[in-house]
Amino acid sequence: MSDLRKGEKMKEKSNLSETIFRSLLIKTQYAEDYALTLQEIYSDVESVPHFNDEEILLENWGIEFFYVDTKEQIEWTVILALMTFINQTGCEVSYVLTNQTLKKFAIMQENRCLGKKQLIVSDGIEININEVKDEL
Amino acid sequence: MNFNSYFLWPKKFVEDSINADGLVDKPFVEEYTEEILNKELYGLKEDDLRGLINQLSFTASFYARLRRMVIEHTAKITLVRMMDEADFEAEFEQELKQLLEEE
Repeated sequence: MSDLRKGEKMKEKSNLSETIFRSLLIKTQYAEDYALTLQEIYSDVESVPHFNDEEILLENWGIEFFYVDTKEQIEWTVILALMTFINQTGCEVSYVLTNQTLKKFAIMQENRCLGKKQLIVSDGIEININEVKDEL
Repeated sequence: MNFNSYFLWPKKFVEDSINADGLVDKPFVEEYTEEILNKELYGLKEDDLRGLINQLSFTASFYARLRRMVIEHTAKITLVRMMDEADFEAEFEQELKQLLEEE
């Protein structure tokens, strides 16, 4: 299958990634537990010192990687899992999170689900989210 | 054990990949690595294999980081070129506007 064909196939499924707008978000215990689990996975991956590429195994989660690029992609996948969860279930979870990066992405998704306009500024290291008013 | 020759192992794969006409002809890397395993490594002892894994890890890391740095460096060069082009375009528009106003 060519790369173009693969792209077309992905496009057919892409509606699952579209934002589901809601008037309010709910708070539940299962959502908190799930978000905290993802936070632990994210923190475990993020905190691995990886100045040179080397074989890493996180036994608790069965996560294995060698390249720093792979580490970053796993971190992004965990963020994406959390954002998708918020979008699909309409649960608010940012208030239980303590990891600043994960918390910011959760807030970003929650705002998006509520239809709030936001300005996202990143210098490649830090991300800042500011809500913007309609007149802007 | 001396593994100096491993620097030459990817040569055929790289050349065949560069010379491939399109996606259909693109060689599969596994075919080349399997050939190396069968021809060069099959008879090696466990200690030698572990030594080779170490050296291959350093090499793989080096090339992966170098690839990433080259991509980032290229992106910077592309950005500078695009900004220069935008400046040139803006200056041209400004001069053109000035000329039209003078006429």
